[in-house]
Amino acid sequence: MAGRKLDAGTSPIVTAVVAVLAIVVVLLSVLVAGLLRSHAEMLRAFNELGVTFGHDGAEGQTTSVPAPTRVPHASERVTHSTGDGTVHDLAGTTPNGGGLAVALSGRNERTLLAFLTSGCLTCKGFWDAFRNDAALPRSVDRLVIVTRSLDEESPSALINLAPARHAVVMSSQAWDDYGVPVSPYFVLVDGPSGTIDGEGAASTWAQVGSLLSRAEADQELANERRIDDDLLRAGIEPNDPRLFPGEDIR
Amino acid sequence: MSNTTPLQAGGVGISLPRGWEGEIYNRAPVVDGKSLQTPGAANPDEVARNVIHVANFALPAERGDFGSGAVEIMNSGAILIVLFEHGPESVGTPLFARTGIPVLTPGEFDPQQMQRTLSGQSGRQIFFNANGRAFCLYVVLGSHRQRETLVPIVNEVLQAIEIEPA
Repeated sequence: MAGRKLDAGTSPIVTAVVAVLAIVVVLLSVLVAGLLRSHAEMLRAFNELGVTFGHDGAEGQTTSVPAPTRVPHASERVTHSTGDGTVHDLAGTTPNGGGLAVALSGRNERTLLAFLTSGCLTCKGFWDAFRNDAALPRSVDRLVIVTRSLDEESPSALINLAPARHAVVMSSQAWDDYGVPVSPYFVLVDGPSGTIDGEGAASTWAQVGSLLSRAEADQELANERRIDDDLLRAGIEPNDPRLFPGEDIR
Repeated sequence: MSNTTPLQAGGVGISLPRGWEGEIYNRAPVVDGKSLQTPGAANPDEVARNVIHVANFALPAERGDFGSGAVEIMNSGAILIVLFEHGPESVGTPLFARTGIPVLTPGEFDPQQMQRTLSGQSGRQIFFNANGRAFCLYVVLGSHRQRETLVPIVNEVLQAIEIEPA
């Protein structure tokens, strides 16, 4: 009986509360749907730039920052940057207000360009690694850090971030020349050939080393196949005695 | 691609030939109230201003004002050019009496003119003034034997230097 009295007395109020809650739920659903759609658009945009999100295996933990996954070979590069695919020497200023020019092509060195900013969260790990003298990958002779120019960067922040052992050049022109789509971004320049051997984004220094090693292995494999093809076209097959001058192959 | 790369700071500009690189930086000022003594300075209490390094090889990021850290990795075809600016009090002194950026000759180079003697290398140090500013020019050749070939290249780069008035 008590329950029935309660039902009879509060029914209009309960109905109103339920109606309000229903409206709130609908509004929240619309809001969540909008957020999911926005998130999907952002993911799609990053994906088009060659950046993917996900688990960062190198660190062994899930990261909320971009975990870019590729340093494509030069043959793939044009689809992932807006650069013209040629090597440009660098000219700009230093965080301390000096001038700096770095020659890249026609040289004996292979130079890794690291395009970093002072503000991006992922870049911080690279600044820290470079200040702590992180070893360069085997295929790299020197590292040059490239930031945007004075009008787009904080020189005081860069002075605190810059490593002593690597040059830091501030040049927005270089970002334009190499069509840098995101930061951090890396470009490997082969000095002797004056070509770009690989480029792409990465979230950790270890990942850069791993990707460069893979790119180098791919290049070596491609060279081996090219040499094999050249030999076959010349009528020289595997184990052909002419490949082993001075050896008695029976 | 341009055949030259601009390098500019501190009132000094250079159009570097292809394959050359360089840096212009301001030397550390007075530290703890003590002036820095600089090699060849007319007045030991003066403080140097700009330092310019240009080279046809990859300059290491860590270098001394007169190229230590870089000269050790030079091969026989390498060239390092250092311009070391002295303070305004040096202008008009006998040491900096020569006017204008010098033109060098192979005969001026001597392995004994190196700040620190390195086997096979050769150096030349000379003081001059330009546009009311005092400089020490220090050039290192990777090979003394190749000075006849390398010195004309040095002069080409030197003539591409523009020094603005003080």
